[in-house]
Amino acid sequence: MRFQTPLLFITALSTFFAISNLLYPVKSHASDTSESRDPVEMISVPAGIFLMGSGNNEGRADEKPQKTIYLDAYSIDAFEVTNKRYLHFIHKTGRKEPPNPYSTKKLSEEVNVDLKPVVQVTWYDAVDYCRWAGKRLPTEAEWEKAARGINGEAFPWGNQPPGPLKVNYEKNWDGIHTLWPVGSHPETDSPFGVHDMAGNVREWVSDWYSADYYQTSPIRNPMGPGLGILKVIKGGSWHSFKGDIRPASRGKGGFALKTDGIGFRCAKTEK
Amino acid sequence: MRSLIDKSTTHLFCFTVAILLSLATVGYSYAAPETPKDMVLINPGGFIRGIDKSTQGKKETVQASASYKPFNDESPASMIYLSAYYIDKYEVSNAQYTEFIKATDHPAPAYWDHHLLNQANHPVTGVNWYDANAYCHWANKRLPTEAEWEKAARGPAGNIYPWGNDLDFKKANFGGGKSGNKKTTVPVDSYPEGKSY
Repeated sequence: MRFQTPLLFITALSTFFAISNLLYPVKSHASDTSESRDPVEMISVPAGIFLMGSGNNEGRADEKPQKTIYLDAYSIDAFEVTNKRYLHFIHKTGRKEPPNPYSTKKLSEEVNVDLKPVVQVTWYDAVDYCRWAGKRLPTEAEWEKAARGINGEAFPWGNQPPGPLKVNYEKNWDGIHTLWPVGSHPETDSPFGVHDMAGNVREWVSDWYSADYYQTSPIRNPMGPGLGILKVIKGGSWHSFKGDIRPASRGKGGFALKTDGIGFRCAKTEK
Repeated sequence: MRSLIDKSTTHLFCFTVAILLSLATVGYSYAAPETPKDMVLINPGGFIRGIDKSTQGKKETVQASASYKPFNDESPASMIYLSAYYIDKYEVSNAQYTEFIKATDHPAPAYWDHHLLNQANHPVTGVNWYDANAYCHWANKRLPTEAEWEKAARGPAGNIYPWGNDLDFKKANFGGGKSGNKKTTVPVDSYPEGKSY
C-alpha cells in the first residue's frame, strides 16, 4: 500500500503532462515541425570576419568603402526557394498562389517549373515563408559574406568576369526557359558552396536600404538601418547587366515589389 | 529642318519625360536650330494651367465626361507664360534606358526583370526621381517643370485631355483598356491619335 502512493502520483503526473502536451504543444515540438517543413540543405558560415563592400577602383558609391565586418555564425539555404517548396507553403497555410509569369494557368498547374526559383513574391511573402520554416531572411551582410567568401572577391566564383553560359544574366525573357533550375551551375558556387548567388533571380534580404549604410554601419553584425523606404535586393537577375550581379552591388525595391526576377532564400542564426 | 512657325511642330505626342533648354534667348529669331531628334518645339507663349472650380457650373460648354472633376490642388486656372522649350515626343523607353545604364553603370530600375514591362519599346518603369534626373542629364537634357509638362500636354487653350475634352479608350492606355486586354504598359508610340494639341 505504501509503495503504491508514489506510483499513483507518478502515473497521474505523467498523464497530466501527456494531456497538456497535446493541448499546448511545447516549443521543441514546434521547431521539429518547422524544420521538416522546409527540408533544404543549409550551409554553415562560421563566425568571423569578411571583406564587405567595394574598394576604390570598382563598384558604385553606395557600396563603399570596403570594410572588415565580423558576423556571428549562421547558416543559409544552399538554394533559393523553389516553386515546389513555395507552393507547399502556400497550400499548407491556405494562401493565394503568386502570379504565374509563364502562362495564364495557375502556377501550380505549370509543368517543369518545380525546381526553378519562385518569383513574383513580395518582401513580406519572403519574410512569412522563412518564419513558417522556422528561419528568417538573411541580413545584407550575411548574404554578401555567403556569396563572395571572406576575401572580398568580385563574384561568387572569384574575380573573373561572368560568361553567358555559366551565369544567367543579360538575357531577355524566353518563357519557361528564362529562369534556370536552382543549383544547375555548381561551377559558380560561392567559396562556402552556396549556389546561384549571381544572376538568375535577385534575392530579398532583411535590411532597409540606405545609400550611406556601408559608410556608417557597425563592424559587428550589421542589421541595416532602423528605418527606410526600400528593402535591399541582392544578386541581380536574368535581365541584369554585369554591374548588378556582383555580390557587393546593392539592388533595392519597395517591399511590395513583385517581378519575374525577385526570389529569396532563408537563413538562421547558429546556436 | 523645321521652321518655328510650322504648325506641325506644335503637334506633339503628350507623354514626355525629358526636355531641352531652348530658345529662350533666341526668341522669335528665324535662325532657329534644328529640332533635336524625337523632340518637339513648344513655342513661347501663354497657356491655361489648372482648372477653375468656379467653372464647374458652366462645364456643359465642354463635353464633360464623368472623370471631369478637378481635384482640390488643380485650381485656380491661370494664364502662365513659358519661354520656348523642347520636349521629348515619347516617354523614355526601356531601350533608351538600357543605353543609359550600359554607358554609366547606373543600377537597373525596379521592374527591370518584369517581362511584361521591360520590353524594349515600352516606357521604362520603376524609376525613381533620381534615376529620371540622372537619365536626362546623361542625355544632355533635363526633366520638364510641371508647367512645361502641362502646357505640352494640353496646348494653350486648356484642353482637359491632350487631344481635346472627351475621354477615349482609343487615344490612351488607362482603366485597363476597358476591354480588359491591356493590363500593362504598351509601346510608347501606340496611340498616335492621343497626341496633344
